[in-house]
Amino acid sequence: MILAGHALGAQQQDARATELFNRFAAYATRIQIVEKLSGAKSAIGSGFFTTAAGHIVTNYHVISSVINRPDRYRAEVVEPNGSTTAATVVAIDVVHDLAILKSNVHDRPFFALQQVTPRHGERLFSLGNPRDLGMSIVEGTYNGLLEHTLYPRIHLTAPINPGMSGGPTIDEQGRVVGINVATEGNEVSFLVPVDRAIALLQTALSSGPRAEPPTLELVGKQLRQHQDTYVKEMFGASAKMIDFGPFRVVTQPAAFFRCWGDGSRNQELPYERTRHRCTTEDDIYLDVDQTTGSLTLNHQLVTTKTLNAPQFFALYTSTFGTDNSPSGEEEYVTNWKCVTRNVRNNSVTMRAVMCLRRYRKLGKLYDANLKLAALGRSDVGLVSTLNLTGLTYDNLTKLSDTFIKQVSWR
Amino acid sequence: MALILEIRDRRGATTWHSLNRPLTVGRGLSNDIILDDPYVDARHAHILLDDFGALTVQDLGSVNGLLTNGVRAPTAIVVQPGTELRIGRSTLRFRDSDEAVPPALVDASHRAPLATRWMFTDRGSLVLVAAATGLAALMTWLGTSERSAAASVIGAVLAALVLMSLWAGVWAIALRGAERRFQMRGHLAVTAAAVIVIALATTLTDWLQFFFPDTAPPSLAFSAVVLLTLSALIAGHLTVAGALSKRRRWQVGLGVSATLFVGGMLIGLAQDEKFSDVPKFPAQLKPVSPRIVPTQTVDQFVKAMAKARDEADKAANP
Repeated sequence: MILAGHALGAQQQDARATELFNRFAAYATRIQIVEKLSGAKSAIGSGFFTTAAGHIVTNYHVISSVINRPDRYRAEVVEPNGSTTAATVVAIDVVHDLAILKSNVHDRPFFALQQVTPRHGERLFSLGNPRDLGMSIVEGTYNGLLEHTLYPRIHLTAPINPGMSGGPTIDEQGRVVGINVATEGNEVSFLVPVDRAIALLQTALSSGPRAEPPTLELVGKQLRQHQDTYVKEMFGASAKMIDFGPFRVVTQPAAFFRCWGDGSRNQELPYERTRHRCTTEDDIYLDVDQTTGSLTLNHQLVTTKTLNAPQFFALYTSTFGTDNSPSGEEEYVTNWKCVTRNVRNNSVTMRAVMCLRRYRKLGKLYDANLKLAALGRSDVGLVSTLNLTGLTYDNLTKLSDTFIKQVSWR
Repeated sequence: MALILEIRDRRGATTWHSLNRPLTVGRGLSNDIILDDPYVDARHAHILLDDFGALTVQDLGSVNGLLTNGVRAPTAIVVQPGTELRIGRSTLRFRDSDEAVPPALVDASHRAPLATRWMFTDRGSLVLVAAATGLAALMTWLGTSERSAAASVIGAVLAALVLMSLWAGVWAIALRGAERRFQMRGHLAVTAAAVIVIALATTLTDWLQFFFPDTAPPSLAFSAVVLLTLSALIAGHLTVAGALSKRRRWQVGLGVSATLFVGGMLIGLAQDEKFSDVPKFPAQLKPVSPRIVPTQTVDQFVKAMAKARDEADKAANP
């Protein structure tokens, strides 16, 4: 009976998805990025119509090439019959990974956006163009807003695939709940809540048709405006001090960090390493191969019982010198510039290195790689690293100052 | 013009003979020139003027014969200045008595510092090579963090010995001169001394960079030490070979090392401008009491970060 009932339920579900697809597939659209010189498409994605005037919502990461290299790339809407129509980017929200395009396609039905809050476990349907295979519908389950993230994200249990980015996820009434944005595989997928798109659309509509198109300058501005709130939270109420070997160090710098630890105990080696690491889970997509906004805190304890002092310090030096800075591309960032000092806070004498690099095209934004190595024992050492990306100089010095002052002996 | 016969026997000893009368060469004691060489016949060769008045060497039916350029020669060879013949394991070389020789060098060895003279004695060179090898072993041992350091220490000792011998060997061969004196021991002593100086300078720079991370002079001073050591090394090799005057040796040494140095600096500059997403900084940590380490306050350090920011700004907007 249960099996039969289940089968019947599945049939009903299938029917529901078919019905929704038939009704709403035309609301969504394929978007492609074309390399101007060769005329070949360099990226594909999805989007959906949201006004009668041809406004389309999609992800920033779908159209990022157009913002980064407007001279080389343009965006196009691909009609169901395969013909293409030019589209211009009229508004971006790089932090939440959204963009609004304006096309001259006026004959398509569109989703009127409104605030929707689904129930936990509610069935949702994602529309999009997975791997450029054609418009598809995927059923999934609403699992609430992610906790502990910097940027609001809906957790959807559904197999969203590359190419579906920018497509809408709708409820059974056909209301847009969120915009497909990312997947972690195994049916774990993420949506940008619809309220972010509503806000961005308002910006696009209010700026008028003659407004300047968004540029990298605006990307930099949005990144600077966004960060003050979360930087204020760091090393605040949620931060905890923990015992780490003979040291006390800070962990869980803010609620939006995830922390974990691990140790390596290899019988072959005359020393041990213990790590404690906290990172933000989400970063901001800027361009192919370039993200920003991730923050990492890393404590590493090196201990030995058998190495003599010079041997231990040779090991400690190499641990301290091992690179754990964020990666970067020449097009986007400068070389690292470092300042090294021996520093003493209230408790610990340490070697401290601050390396900075600047974003080339986003105005005054920097990445920082701050490393500390505590001095004073020849059987145990602490290397603490704070990696900050896409911050203003004020913010990163503020955080660095706090970070250096918190290290102490137990 | 008269020809002089230069004989270099299998032990490297050289003798000169004038050729104003016919001479016999062989191992037998009745010969005019006696070669103590088991590969030479009792009566091996005869040197005489032939019917046309040309100086000729005749093989007297010996077992191993006479070799020119490694090939067994016909029984009679007409020789000229510069002709070289091999007889057994010895070499016969015919030289013009009017051949120009370089001017005499000023002998300053009695004025050379005691240390320099000691360096080239048997004991001195042995001590230097042992010290350089020992230093390599010590530095490897102190730098290792493996459970058993023996393998890497032995490896370092072997590497040090092989590399020093190779370097000294190249100089010995290149500067052996007309007399074929290799002077390997002297070249090894010079090489070992340079290795010791560089090792000590490296260690000292490392410590200075640890204590004073924000000052450039340690690396500048280190460069100067390397430059001087390299010059001294080259001058030293030339001294061992007895080539050139003292002033010229140093000129050559400084010239060569300065050229290498400028080349290296240009390569360094070019690489500095290359993009890399790996930061470079002096990471030295040393096992000393924190009390003797000069430190800054956190606030001073945070203020100093502006220097990195300014450099990054400059790199972004050149």
